[in-house]
Amino acid sequence: MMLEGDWLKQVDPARGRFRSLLLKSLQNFLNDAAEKKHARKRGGDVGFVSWDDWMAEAPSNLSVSAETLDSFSPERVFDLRWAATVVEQALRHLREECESKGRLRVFDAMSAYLTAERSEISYAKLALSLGIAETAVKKLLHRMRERYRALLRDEVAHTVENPADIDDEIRHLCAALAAGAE
Amino acid sequence: MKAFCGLSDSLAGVVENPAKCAHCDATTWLGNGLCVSCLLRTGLTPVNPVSDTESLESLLAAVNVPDQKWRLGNYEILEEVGRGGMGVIYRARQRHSRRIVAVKRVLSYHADSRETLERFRREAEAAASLDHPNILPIYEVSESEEGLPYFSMKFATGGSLQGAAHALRGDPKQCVAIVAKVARATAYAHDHGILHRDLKPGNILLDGHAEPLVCDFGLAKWLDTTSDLTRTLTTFGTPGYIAPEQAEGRAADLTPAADVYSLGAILFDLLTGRPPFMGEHALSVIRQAAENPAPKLRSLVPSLDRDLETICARCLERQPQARYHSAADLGEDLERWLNGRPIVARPVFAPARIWRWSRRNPKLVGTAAACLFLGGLSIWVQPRLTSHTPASPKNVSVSPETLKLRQALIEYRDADIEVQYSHLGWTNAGQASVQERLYYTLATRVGFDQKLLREELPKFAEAVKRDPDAPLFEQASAAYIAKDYPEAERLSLRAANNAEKWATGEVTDALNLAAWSACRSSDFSRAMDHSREAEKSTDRQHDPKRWADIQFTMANVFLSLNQTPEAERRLQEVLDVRSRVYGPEHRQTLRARRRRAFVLLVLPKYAEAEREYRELIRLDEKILGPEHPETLYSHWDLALALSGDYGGGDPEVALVEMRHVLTLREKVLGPEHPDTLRARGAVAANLNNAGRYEEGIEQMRELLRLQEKVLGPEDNGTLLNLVNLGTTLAESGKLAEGEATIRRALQLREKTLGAAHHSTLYCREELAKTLALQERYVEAETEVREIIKLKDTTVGVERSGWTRDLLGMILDKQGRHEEAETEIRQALHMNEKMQGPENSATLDSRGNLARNLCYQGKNVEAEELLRQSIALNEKVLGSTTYNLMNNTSSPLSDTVTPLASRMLLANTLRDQQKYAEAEAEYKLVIAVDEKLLGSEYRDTLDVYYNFAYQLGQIGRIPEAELFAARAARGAPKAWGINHPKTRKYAAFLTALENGRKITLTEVKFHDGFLVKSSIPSHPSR
Repeated sequence: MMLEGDWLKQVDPARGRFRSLLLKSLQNFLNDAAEKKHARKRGGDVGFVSWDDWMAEAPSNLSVSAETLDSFSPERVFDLRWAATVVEQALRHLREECESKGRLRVFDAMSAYLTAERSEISYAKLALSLGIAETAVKKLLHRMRERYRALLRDEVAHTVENPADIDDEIRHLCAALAAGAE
Repeated sequence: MKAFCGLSDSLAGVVENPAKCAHCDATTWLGNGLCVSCLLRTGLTPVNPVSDTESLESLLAAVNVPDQKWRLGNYEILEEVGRGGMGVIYRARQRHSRRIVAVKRVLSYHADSRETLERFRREAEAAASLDHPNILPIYEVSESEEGLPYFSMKFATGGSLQGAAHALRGDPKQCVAIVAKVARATAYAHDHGILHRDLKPGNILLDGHAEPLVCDFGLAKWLDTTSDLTRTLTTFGTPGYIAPEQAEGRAADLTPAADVYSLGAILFDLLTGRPPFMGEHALSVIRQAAENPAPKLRSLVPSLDRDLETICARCLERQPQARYHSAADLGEDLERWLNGRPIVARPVFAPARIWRWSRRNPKLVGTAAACLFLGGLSIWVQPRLTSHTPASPKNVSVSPETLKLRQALIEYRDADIEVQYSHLGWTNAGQASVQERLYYTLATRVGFDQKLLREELPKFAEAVKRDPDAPLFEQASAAYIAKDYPEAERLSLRAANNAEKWATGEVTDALNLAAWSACRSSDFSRAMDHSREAEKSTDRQHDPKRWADIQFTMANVFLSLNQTPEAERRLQEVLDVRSRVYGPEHRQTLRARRRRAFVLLVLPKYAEAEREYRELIRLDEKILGPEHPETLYSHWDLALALSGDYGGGDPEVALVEMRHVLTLREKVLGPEHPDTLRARGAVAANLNNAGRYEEGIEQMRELLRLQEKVLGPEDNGTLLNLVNLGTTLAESGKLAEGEATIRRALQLREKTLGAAHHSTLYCREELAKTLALQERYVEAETEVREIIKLKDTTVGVERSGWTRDLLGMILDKQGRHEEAETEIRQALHMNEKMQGPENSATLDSRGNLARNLCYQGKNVEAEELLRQSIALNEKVLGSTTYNLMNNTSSPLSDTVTPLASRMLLANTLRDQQKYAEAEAEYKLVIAVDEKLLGSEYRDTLDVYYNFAYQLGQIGRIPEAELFAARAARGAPKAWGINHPKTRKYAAFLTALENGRKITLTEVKFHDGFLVKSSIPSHPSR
């Protein structure tokens, strides 16, 4: 664990804005790390953010634009990683639920369309590959999206003090990601 | 099966030009092709409460999309075996055949994750083009109905190297063999222009025959193309195994050297149980790899070969150019190591050729030797060479390696002795580890690589042996190395005869070698003759080092002849002389000291021995450090000295020492290392000594399992443990199992060592004791008489004292006391003569004789002998005379302990009607027994009974009943319900309770050992 000190004890179990606290610790760390940042133009600096113990549960294959990394402040890179972790955790739970029902293949086929527009989805192809009726595919995808949404909000709820803050937290993270598109 | 998930724990990827999300313009993607921003945003849509019937769970249950037995192209999917960020792997059956394959398919469906798809296809393409026995073969690359790629490949049934690593750890050869194959496979891929870039144990699968198969060429890069695609991939790979230049993301700079680094890291991991760099998180690992040199292999596992350290270090160089030039070079060097050839970093030479050559150039060799050799050796080599070989006019320089080999040839005998006779633990060591240690010692001494020396020295010796012109002493040394001891003896005697008169040192050295050769063929009287000759040719004042050498030899011969006090006297002198001429911390001095400590133990002088061993630990810790293998041996010496193996000490203290050794060895050497095994054996022995049989037997069984696996079922150490297990089982009451176990050990011993070997005879003695314990006295007697006959013909009539003692005890148990007396007296006589009057075997004999005399009612003589015995015990054992260790009698060995001697004394006093004196002794023994052994222990019950008997005789009936009741109540538990003693003690109590007076005339002796006239007759007069 690269974040040292006993700050974790202070925040747990009261939770609070967990991400902010982590970020604070991270900033301190980054100041030290900055000195050692030699000629590593890109890539290396993002690596360590994704590898902290608290994120190890969701090993990520996040792809990030090199430009984004160069232009982002460390805080924003952190938010980006944080956002990815939250959605990956929610996806993982969803996958586990499917797996426990012996329907991992359904998850594998449909999770790609969790955020897709209706027009982008070929229900016929999905139905073919899964060997079920198109209507069943439609129903399943609908329920899966709802379940994913619930799981995501649960995930965010773990990191905020007040359930009313969930939407704010999601918007904050979305904003951080959107800025990366500049 | 994480083995397949090559990418799951890889670092995050950074791409130069990622696609923008069609919905939100964000550029951050998950590996499965989903936009992070979109995934988050859906969370803002309010969640509707869902009715139970419509929940996802119920829907999933309703659709028929099973995870097993579904079809994907040509394959029937059987189960998922692995999952990574971008792919999932199944075990599958090829349709229309029974072929089981692995099918890997991509999980990314999103149109924008084109790159992922491309990467996946490339993996298949790269890997499918490779055809090598150690590369996982790809059978088919195809696309699913949705247009997504998948490929089928060989299904590796042996899991991954990651999973097998633990089991491989104790076997460096196996580890090297695997990495050599992987290196060859990697070299093959490199030749085809493909870098692996993510080699790690998890990416090396094992087939059913444990053959390694490299998989996951997912990161492979085409060496001869620079596609856009490869440029966008930067930091991939797994921390701990990736090369520093790779971690820094210099993708374009990557060369095969990056894979060489990973191969080195894998080898390092297999050999030490951890990758070269470890840290709390990936960055720390990468940073360490970039900034620090890799740790030395042997700093983690000192027992590993130095060449392996060199090989690993070469792979793990931070500069790619400093590593092996290619994976093929690495593979070749590993194969060299496996075949015992010198690795490339070392000079290669042919000893035989050089031997010939140096023989023809003796002057040069001699001069060089004089410069290089230490101490007496240079004196030796030069005259021998000049006197036996003609000078050559050629002026060529000689390689230092040859000189070192020659030095090793001559010093081999000395190192052999050092290893064989240094630490106590070596008496039980397997031959393989003795050899290992021998070469370690020798290599350290002559400054040569151990592995290489082990290969080259026998060849060199062979060349010397075959050469009729070679100096005799060197020929003799060569024969000694070849374990041809009679030949070594013959040649060294010839060397002594042929030596120039003035060269007394040569004569001494040659005779010394002759003496040791005789020792090694177990002919100690010849050894004594040779060493006495040598002693005559050496002068203490003039050549103190040689004088001490020969005294050391003589001490060992005396010890072998059981003349221990003389051995001690000589060793003390060796110690004095060597301390003076070499200094107190020199290895020669320490060796004498260690040997003397052992002799003190044999004498036994426990307190002095313990002090010496503690001092040796202190010196080792100071000179070598606390975790050095030698220091651990010294701890072991102390533990053995304290434990029942050698004599007197607190078993709990011994246990602490031994557990210390076991823990450190498990840590430093691993659990299967022979030294660790021996430490476990010693822990078991100490547990048994402390009476903790259950725990002890458990440890012994575990040890046996490991030994059979590591050393083989017929190894000396394995068999020793087997017979000890049998003995322990018998002692703890499992007689039948004990006997069967001992018989199994005996059978194997006869097969491997022959019927007359002392180890075989030891097994037979244990068998005889087990038979006696089962009251099968006739069989036991037959066994023992057979053993004595064999010993008389092999070790000599006078050296079967202990066995005759055993015969006496067995005869006593049959009531044949007069025959027994003859045998025991003979044993006592032999032991006194051969071992000295204070030796523990002699003390045992004396105790046995006293007991025998008691049986026969020869009370006066018995009393005298017992008083002698008690005095000698107290003199020899001192403060430990009445401790737990010395007074727990094993039912199997049934020796007369110091406390039992005092009880016997009380009995003889009683039977001479010296009641007051007797009562004082009884009370003393009862007090100590109760405190030491408890009121339910066999010996305590015996003394209760005997005291009760006296009380009964003198009419103190209520007191007598009290003690008789204690004896009678404890007996069923101590001996079993049907044991004669149990019946006797119960009958005695009944007699007392019936108010019958006990008179001396009716029962003579009742210590309870012999139960010939089992139940005392009950006087009615």
